[in-house]
Amino acid sequence: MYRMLFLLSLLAFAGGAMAEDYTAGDLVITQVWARPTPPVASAGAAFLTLDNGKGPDDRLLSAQGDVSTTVELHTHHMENGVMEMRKVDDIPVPAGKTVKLQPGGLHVMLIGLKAPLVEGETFPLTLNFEKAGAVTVEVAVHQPPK
Amino acid sequence: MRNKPLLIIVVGILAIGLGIGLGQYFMPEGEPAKPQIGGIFLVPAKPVVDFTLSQQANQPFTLADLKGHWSLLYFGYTFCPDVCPTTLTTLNRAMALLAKQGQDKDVAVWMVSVDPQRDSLEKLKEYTAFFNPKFRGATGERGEIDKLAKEFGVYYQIHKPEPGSDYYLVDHSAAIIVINPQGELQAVLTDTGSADKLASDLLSIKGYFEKARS
Repeated sequence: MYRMLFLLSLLAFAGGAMAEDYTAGDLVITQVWARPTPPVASAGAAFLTLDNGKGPDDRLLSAQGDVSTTVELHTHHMENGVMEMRKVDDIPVPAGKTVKLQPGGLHVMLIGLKAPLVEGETFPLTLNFEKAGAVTVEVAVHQPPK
Repeated sequence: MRNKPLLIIVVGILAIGLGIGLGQYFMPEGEPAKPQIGGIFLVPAKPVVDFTLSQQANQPFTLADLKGHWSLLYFGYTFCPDVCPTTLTTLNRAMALLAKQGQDKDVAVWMVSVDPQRDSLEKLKEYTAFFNPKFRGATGERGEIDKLAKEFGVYYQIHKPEPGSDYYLVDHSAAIIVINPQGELQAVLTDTGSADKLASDLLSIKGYFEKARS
């Protein structure tokens, strides 16, 4: 019995340290995070993983939040060693695919941060999908995984 | 005429032999093997033209600041939401790895802003210190930034803001420029994704430099 309680407490502890997972329709949204920003930085980026294992083709149309004056969907690509960042109209999430928004690639761009993103804190961000609809996620602010 | 192919082979072997002999004669003894790094290693290192930018407290930042120790230069801007913070975080982790081997004291890290319109020296100071208190920021007049960027093969392009917005994006090379203690361009690191790789590349570069001088 005590052993069981111990295992349960371990599980609870592990759960607390992990970022929360969300669902929107058939989509599963995991690893929602943003990097801490220097106090003087006016831009930041949020990252997440979209798993569309079950649903039809979908698209992330936009993101909204009070964290910054503007929230846009952006992508990067490396062209001859030059990092180019561009706004994208939407991010396709094809059926059966997992789409990762991660450093150096797709990201939710936070322009005009109202306050710095502080390690250990979270902020809400609403994601609008074409089919799955809107879902509000809590973005965990932490250092990138090594 | 039947032996012509044989003659060609013999002459060829002699020529190769002569080449190796001459090569050994002219090559300085004990030239260390060029380090295998994630980027370009320059032999010989390329002298850098003098330049005048500014650093924190409005002090000049010139070629003299790049002499007597190793310098890593990164060209970016503080509005950069992803690549610059990622690279500076990786650089900070790489410096911690170098510190474990006592190899960090003679390495300075600079972020040169290509966006002086938005990046004041004060802002740059706070921005770079966020990643590592020892990291420094510099910027200056467009002409001097361009001169230095050209010197290192660094490309950047400032875009026009979108209609109805005053926010603009900047494309820029993501490479890390490595300057040796003589103030010469020694390497351009393009594989900047991993702190381990960055630290081991820097150790190889430093090792080569020490060997070549001894």
